[in-house]
Amino acid sequence: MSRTIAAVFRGSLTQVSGIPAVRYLVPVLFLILFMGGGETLQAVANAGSIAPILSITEIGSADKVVGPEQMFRDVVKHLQEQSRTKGYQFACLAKGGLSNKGDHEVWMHQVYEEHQALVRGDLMQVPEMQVYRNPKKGAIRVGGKWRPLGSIPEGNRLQRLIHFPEELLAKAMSRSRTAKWIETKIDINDPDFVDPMDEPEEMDKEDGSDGSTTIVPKSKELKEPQGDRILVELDEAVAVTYFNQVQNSGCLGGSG
Amino acid sequence: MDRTRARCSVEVGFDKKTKLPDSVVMTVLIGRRNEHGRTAKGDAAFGEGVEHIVFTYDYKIDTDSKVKVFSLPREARGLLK
Repeated sequence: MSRTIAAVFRGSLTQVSGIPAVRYLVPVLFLILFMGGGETLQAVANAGSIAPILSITEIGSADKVVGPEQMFRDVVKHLQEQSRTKGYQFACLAKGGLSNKGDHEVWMHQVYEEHQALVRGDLMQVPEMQVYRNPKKGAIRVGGKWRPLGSIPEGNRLQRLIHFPEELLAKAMSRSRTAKWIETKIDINDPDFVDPMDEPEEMDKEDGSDGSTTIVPKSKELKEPQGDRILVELDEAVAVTYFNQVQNSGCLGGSG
Repeated sequence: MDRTRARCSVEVGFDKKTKLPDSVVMTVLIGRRNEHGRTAKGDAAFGEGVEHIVFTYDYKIDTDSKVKVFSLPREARGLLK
């Protein structure tokens, strides 16, 4: 080990497996500063050569389990960034009414609004209605003239029922009470669906103290988020805010 | 309706690699008073056999396609200020 270390610092080419050791002097010094000399030297000794310790990003980084709250925040930030740099499209169906079912199935519909839109930055375009809007105001082209979005019933409904997704998520992030992972919805008709019964479980070998070998299920370490769906519960006040918007849209017993 | 009985939840599905959402479902529940002017307490206000109001906002988000910067007509731009 001491020969290897000495070779590194002398920059000797021949004593370090023919690899130019000078090239690795800087990362080694970096590691010593942040890991401590003992760990670095041990890493070099275990490696037998300099190359394995070049993956600096792996050293000192433990596998991190991300909680649903943090993942939700990350998703919101990524969407906001996407909106600023590349934009995105969405389709929204806002519907509702009266229900008396535990699964909230609606038996008397009072709201049904479906639109497709494009978003770039703080602007949304709804091509089918010739609408441009930002989170606070909007414009709609009617009869060849541009008018305020809320000046006609269709525009008023659009404005109050169809929200900017990143705004909706940002509000959810700021007003959340609980967040949890939920099971991924599985569509058995999806062509990519694989029946879990058909997939063999990953197995591993375990060597026993008596020299025997046992086949056991591979332990599945949680290195990534637990799923790809998160459920966030919000304040009651948020529910009332959205309900008031529906009322003001004119859908509930009003015009439009 | 009884605004003191309200629930709101947001369910988001996302791509693990890009951390971009592909679906968002927001559910808003509002309780309703019965013929006696009363509303069931807690989650019972939205349970089986109990009339309540439900709104769902179902978003399908496509982040694969790039959206060009909008070129707004002058008249429309003025209305957004």
